[in-house]
Parts: sequence; structure tokens; C-alpha cells
Amino acid sequence: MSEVLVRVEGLSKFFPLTRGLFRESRDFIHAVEDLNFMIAPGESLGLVGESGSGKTTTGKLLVRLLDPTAGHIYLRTDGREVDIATLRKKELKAFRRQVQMIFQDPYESLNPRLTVFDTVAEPLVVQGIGNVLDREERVAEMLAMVGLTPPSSFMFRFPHELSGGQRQRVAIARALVINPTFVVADEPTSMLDVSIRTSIMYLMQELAQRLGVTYLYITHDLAVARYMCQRVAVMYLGKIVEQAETEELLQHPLHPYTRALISAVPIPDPRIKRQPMEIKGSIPTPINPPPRCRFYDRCPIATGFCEENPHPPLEDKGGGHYVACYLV
Amino acid sequence: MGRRSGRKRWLWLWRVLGHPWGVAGLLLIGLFGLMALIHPLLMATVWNRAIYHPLVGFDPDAVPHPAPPSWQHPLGTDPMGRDVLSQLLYGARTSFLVGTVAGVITAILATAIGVTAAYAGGWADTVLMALCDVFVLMPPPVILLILGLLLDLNGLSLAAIYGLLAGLGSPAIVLRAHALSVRVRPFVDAARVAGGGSLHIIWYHLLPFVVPFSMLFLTFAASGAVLSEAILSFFGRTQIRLSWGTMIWFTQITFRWSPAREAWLALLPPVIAISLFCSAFYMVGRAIEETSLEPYS
Amino acid sequence: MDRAMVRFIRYRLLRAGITLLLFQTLLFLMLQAMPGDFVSTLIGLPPPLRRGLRAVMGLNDPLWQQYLRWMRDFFTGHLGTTFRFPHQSVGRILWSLAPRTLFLFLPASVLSIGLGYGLGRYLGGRRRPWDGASLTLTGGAIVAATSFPPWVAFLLVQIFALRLGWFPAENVLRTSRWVGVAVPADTVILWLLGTGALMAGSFYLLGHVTRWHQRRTCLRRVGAIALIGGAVLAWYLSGWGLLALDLLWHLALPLTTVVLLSFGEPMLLMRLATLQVADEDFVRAARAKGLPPQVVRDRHMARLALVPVLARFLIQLPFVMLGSLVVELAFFWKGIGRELLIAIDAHDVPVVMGIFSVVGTLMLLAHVLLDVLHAWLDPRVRTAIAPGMQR
Repeated sequence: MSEVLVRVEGLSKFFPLTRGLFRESRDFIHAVEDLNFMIAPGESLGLVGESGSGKTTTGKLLVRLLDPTAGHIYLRTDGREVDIATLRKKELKAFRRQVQMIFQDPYESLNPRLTVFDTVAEPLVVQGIGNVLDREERVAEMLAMVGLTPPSSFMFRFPHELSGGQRQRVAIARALVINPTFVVADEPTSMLDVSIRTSIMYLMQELAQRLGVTYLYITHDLAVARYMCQRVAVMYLGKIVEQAETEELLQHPLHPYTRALISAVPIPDPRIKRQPMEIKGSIPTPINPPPRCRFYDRCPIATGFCEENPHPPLEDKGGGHYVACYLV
Repeated sequence: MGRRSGRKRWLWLWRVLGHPWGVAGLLLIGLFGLMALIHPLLMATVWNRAIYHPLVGFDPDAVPHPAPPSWQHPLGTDPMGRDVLSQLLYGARTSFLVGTVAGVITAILATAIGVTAAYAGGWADTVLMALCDVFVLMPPPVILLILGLLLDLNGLSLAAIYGLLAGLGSPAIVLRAHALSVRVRPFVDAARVAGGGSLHIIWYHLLPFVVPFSMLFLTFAASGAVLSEAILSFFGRTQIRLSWGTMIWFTQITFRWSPAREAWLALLPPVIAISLFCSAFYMVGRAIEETSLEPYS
Repeated sequence: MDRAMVRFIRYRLLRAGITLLLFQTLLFLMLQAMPGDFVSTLIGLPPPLRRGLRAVMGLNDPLWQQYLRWMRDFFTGHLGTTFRFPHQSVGRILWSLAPRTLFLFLPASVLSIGLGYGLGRYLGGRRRPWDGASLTLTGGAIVAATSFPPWVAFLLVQIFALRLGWFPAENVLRTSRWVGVAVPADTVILWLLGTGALMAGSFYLLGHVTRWHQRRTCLRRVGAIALIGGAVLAWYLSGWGLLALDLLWHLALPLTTVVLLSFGEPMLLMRLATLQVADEDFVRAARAKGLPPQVVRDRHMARLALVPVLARFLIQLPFVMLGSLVVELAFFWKGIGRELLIAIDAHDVPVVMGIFSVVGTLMLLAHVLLDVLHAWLDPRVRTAIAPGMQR
């Protein structure tokens, strides 16, 4: 087995509900529960799911914007595996040099009072890298790399003087300026015009190859995942229900939820007819979910067995294709 | 390539200058500043100390006192024979002292508490807010009036107490709200992911948004402090040697609200000065408020 | 009223309770910090008598005992007895002085905020916020707001009382007119205040009920005349008409003074808030619907703009209080404000502390009410990050 860059084991995050001033909460939101996945270096893993599935929470956990309730996140640093879930404040700063994040909203992820230079240089400033001149050079380098050329004309502009696509490029430049090994991208194109999305995604791929960056690409759009990622994990209500190489997953989806997702993607060819896979209702609440299979309420093929037993574990059904279902 | 990134940090100041009240207010403040600075100059050069000293001067030629305006005394003299213009200019110093000290203390206190409460959250937040709630119930002018009766207040102590009372009250609460609204924006998260610690985030991101509003409260506090000082001095409850308020007090105890014309003439300059001074700061504050509340793009 | 609202009210009351405790404690500390105590202000007493007095007054007890007694007294409503006139409870004194102060303070607050609100709304709703009328009005408001209160009082008295003789220069009433009158002035005052409140409520109801009527302007005018006429008639018939007139006549100048001093800030705030709301999308939507500008202004914009005005009004209340205080002094009204200053001079601690406690508590209540009103008007506030509840 080749070396793995990121290995997530049993990761969980529960949010307490209505904490009173003095009492501890009895109810919890199970945002993410018992996640397990791996990402190889240089690979792009897509994390797909609908709103409320916990994918953004997962992203935040991986960059330690949130602290995990349980579980481990192993990051390969200098040949060793470090559990970043247990890092304390002082050690976090060093860790931050390795893991960065690109946010969803290009309008709000940049401070409107700071210039492009200030924004992209901020990680350098915080990590204490180089002096002002070095930073200017590096920022110019990054801006050129993300396609904002000539850099000198963009450096001292303000966010409101840029278009959405340009802002997101700035965000990408900022994320990559300190040479991280791992980047979590939280739906970076979902707030951009459709026409620009491809160019941004292409840029990200190109940068991944050039700089050897590994991505966790969070999205709700299967088409995007197909374009960007070698492997895809599908999340539902805080758990991964299926995980496989992209093409394999799209051609041979095994889990009923994945199948429903795929069948919901429209195909612009009126001659092709498919059987739509209907699932009932909408995503239930993640507060104190019962211990059975999370998909039980909406699953078209659920049986009594599925109700009585705990949520099925992820099992390899052959060739690295994992599914969490009793009936497959 | 120069670092022009600092420009937008001060943009709000330029905006204030573009606002009619902002300009008017700042001009007035400048005018009063000039007055305060001119006084020692005049005393050292043109004016005869014996006659024009604001406290102990006396002009034997312009009897009876208070005298109406003349060439020697453009604003006349007060009941004790002292030149009113000299007093007015000297009083500007007191007003600036009181206003500045009160304003700065208010701004610093309110910002420190508001930002800390917003950033720390949890129990620190609750405690600080409960503390501020108490101070909201204690309006500075009223409390000062009472303290003035019990303690000997001079300009400095009055201003300091005013700043303390004002800064710990509603300004802190408002600034906390502003800081909170900034803290939840994604670029703060981005800064944290980049490795920024609390200090960095506060200094780099929170403060630039909050400081214009701190300035707002600074101006209101300055205005209120000078007004309070005037009222207290008017009732004779301060130990200030000379301020516009004491000028009014002195005239008042001499004339007891009688409609004598001399009383009017002696009263007008300090009253107008107080009003203009306070409204100058107030105007600047209003200008800041009106220009800073626009969204930043 | 949804769950979030209930939870918010509970939280707010809890916080108010803590604040009240802290406030009273602070007052106690201030009390201890003051130089000397009451006994030391009495001159000519032999030391044994002083010691005895101190012991009786409980001034020798350990601090924490005095503190506990202080808190207990406050929360059971005992404000103590005044030092100056033994056996007169502070509560009784305040109660007796309240009508006059309220007679000035309540109408002043209502008028200044009403005027400020109305003018500000009007100014903010105009198309061009910077024309002549707007500038004069706002300039005037600023000057008025930062004026020296005694001077304003002085000016008004000079012009309207002494020179023109339209209004009296001082006092609440003209004693000559009240000689031999059976009813105490305070009662008449309270009835007047009641009438005022009733009229205000009726006007509001009238406006509300005639909202949709075709000829509402006409109706409202008729209704207003009827209400006023009815009130005047009632007073006339009660036989107290002239007394009431006398009181109102004496109220005119002080009221004008305080309102002049206080209307500026609410007006400016309301104007600003209205201007800002004018840019919001939902206002554009209302205009696009074809609603007349008045309706757009009053029903859509004003409601949201009202919130910061109310908030700042509370903050401004102490200044209105200060203004009332100064006016009470200037016009020789025997109200709570003037009493406060006299008591301070005489080191009459129970009275001073009593006034503080009562006023402070009332203000705290007003704050809680305001916060609750805010949450009711703007539902987003109900679930806002409350300190200590969530991070």
C-alpha cells in the first residue's frame, strides 16, 4: 500500500443543543459520526453530499477550525504520522503550514478593507516567513500562477474591484502561498457563474499537478466531482455511505442513496430514458439519531433487518469500492 | 512598488472630511484649538499681564465693571474687571483637556471591553456585559453632579471619571456587537486557518472595523464631558480655576439672573463657546456615523 | 410567542437580576467610600451622643452586616428613613414628590421622542436629504442638543416670561389661585397625566381603526376634535378646569425647555436610520408595488428604523433626566431632581441612595422592556448569540 497523506479514523463531531447557562445539554446534533477515509498524496478526494450531510463540518475539522469530539486525523508530516486531532494550541501553528482551506464565498472570505497583497501575504506574515520584499515577490509569483497577470496591476486592488472569479483566484493564491501539502476546498465554485467554474477548476487541477498539492474537494455537484477528483466519497447525515474511484462510482453505484443522486442528474439527451430512482421525503434531523441505518427512512429497498441493526459499516465490495449497506 | 495597502485603513477619515458636518465640526475644533494656542502667545507678546490675565487681571481704566466691549476689551470685562476674551481663550484649554481626556478614556475602555467580550465569548462575555449593564444605569452627568458635591473635582479628575462611567456603559455594548458581527465573517476563519492567533485577528481584522465607531463614542463623550463640566461649574461644584462654566457661574452669582444688560453681554461668549465646542464634536461624531455605516464596497 | 421568545425573556430577566444585584452593591460601596458619615455632619454633638447615634444607626456594625441589611432592605422595598426629618420614610417622600417630576418628565420624554421620531422620519424619507429645510432643521437640532441647559431655560424665561409675559417664570402653580381649594395639586396633576395618557391611547386607536377607511383623514380630524373637545368638557364640568389650566400654564416653559434640549438626538438618529433603510431591497419592493410613499415610509421603513431609535432613546433618557433636573432647579419646582441635590448637600444619605435605587431600577426595567420589544419587532434578535449560551 502506497503512503497515505491523510488518514481519518472514527472522526466524530457532536454539537450540543441549547446549552443553558448552567446545565449541560442532553441533546446533540450528530453532525459527523465515525468517519473513515484516506487520501493518497497528490490525489483529489471528492466529498459529495446534500446540505446538512456534514461535508462542510468535515472540512472544518480537517483544518481544525472545529475541534473533533472523537476520532483521529493522521497527517503524514516529515515521514511520520501526526494526529492533528490532538494537537494543542502551540503546535497548531506549525500544522497550519501544511493544511490550508479555500472557502466557498469569494465575497466574504476576503477582508474588504485589505488589498489583494495584504490578503495573500497574510499567511506569510502570520507564519513569519520572509520580510516585506520577499513577500511582495512571493505574492507576485502566486498571482501569476493563479492567472492574475500582470501581478502588479492586481496587487493593490481591493476585493470590491474584482470579479467573483478573480476573487476566488485570490483565495486560491492565499491558500497556496505557504506551500501547504493538503488543501481543503469547500465548494469553491458553487457561488461562481457557471461559465467561470470550469476555468477555476482547471486552475486548481493544474496547480495540484504543478505544486503537488492534495485536495479534499467538497461539493454537492456530482459533475464537478467527476471533473476534479480521482476518488469520491458520498456522505449522508454525517456518515460516509459509499466510497470509490470516481468512474467506478458513477458507472456502478451500489448504495441506494448514491443511485438516487446519480439518477437525479439530468442528461441533456432526450433519447436516453432512465428509471428515476425515487426516495421519499427530505433529509431528517441529525439530532440524536436512532442507532439504525441513517438512510432507513428514505430508502426504497429498506427491510426490517435494516431497522433493527445499527448503521452498516463501510465494507470493501471489491477493488477499493466501499459501501455501507446490508443489502448490497 | 510602494506599499499602498494602508490607504484604505484611513479611508473612513477621508469620508468624514467629505461630509458637510464632518468638515464643519473639524473646522470648528481647529478654530478652538487655535484659540487655545493663541492665548499664551498673546499673553507673552501683546497683552499686558497685569490687565489681561484671565484670573487676576484688572483694568482700572475701564470702570465700571463689567464693561461693554471696547477696543481694548473686544468682549468687554467681567464683574471683577478681567478681560472676557482672555478668559474665553484660556477656557478653551480647559475644555480641550476635559474633552480629550474623557473622550480618549471612553474610546479605549469601550473598545477594550467590547472587543474582549466579543472575542472571548462564554463567561467572560457574560460577566463583562453584566458589568456594563450596571454602568448603563449610571449616567455620567448625574453621577458627576453628585460626586462634585462630595469630592473636589478638577478638570482632569472630572474628565477621568466621566470617561470611566461612559466607557463602561453602552458604548462597550455597542462595540461588542460590532466586533461580533465581524468575528463571524469567513475571512476571520481564513485568517485563523492561516495560523493567526487571537492577537493577530483582533489587530488585523477586528479593530479596523471597530475603531471608527470608537471614534464616534470618543466625540460624543468629549461633547458630553464638556457640557457636564459646564453644568457642574455653573453650580459651583468644581475646583477648576477657569473654564467657560466657571465664567457663567461667576456672572450668575453676581447678577442672579437679573435681566441687566451687562449680565447678558458677559454671559453670551461662554455660552456660545460651550455650545459651539460641544456641537463641533457632536457634528464630527454624526459625520462618522453617517459615513461609516455604509457597506464597504 | 414562540419558544425562542420565551427563552429570550427568561434570559433577559435573569441578566437584569444580576445587574440589579451588582448595582445595589455598587451603590453600597459608593456609600462607604464617601468621606465621613451622617453623624459627622451634625455639629455640636458631644462624643458620647455621637457614639450612641452611630450604634443606633448601625454604623458601627461590621461591613458585611451593613451590606446584608442594605440588600435586604432594598429588596423588601424599605428605602429607609430620611436623616433630616426623623420618622419620614424615604419612600413616602419620593412618592409625594413624584407627581411633579412626572408631570414634567413624562410629557417631555414622549414629546421629545415623538417629535424627534416624526421629524426624523420625515427628513429621512425625503428624496433629497440635503436641501435647505433639512439642513436648517438638523443644524438647529444639533445646536439645541448641545446647548447649555441653564442658558436655554434662562433665554426662554427672559423672552417669554419677563419680556412678553405670556407664561410664568417659575413654580408649578400660582398659589393665589389655589387658596382654599380642597383638592391637593398632586391629585390634579395625576388626573392630568391620566388624561394625557388616555388621549394618546385614543389617538393611536383612532389612527389604527381608521387605517383602511376611505375618508380616514376627515374621520381622523373629526375624531381628534371630538376627543379634545370631550376632554376639555370633562375638565370643565369637574370644576377643576381652572386649576388644571393653571398647572398647564406653568408647565409650558419648563416643558418647552426640556423638549428643545432633548428632541435633537432622536430626530437625527431616526433620520439616519430611515435613510439607511431606504436603500434596502424590501423598500424598493414596496415602492415597486405601487404603494404611496407615505405608506412605504411609515409602515415598512419606520418599523425597522424604530429599533435603534428606541435603543438610543433609552441611552438618552438620563440626559432628559438631567435636563429635567436642571429645569426643576431653574424654575423652582419641588420635584425629585431638586430634592436630590438638596439631599446631597445635606448628606442625607438614605434619600440620595433611595432616589438612585428607584431610578436605577426603573431604568433597568425600561431596558429589559426595550430589549423585549426589540426582540418582538426584529425576530432575528431572539436567537442572537447571547453571552454564556453559545460560542
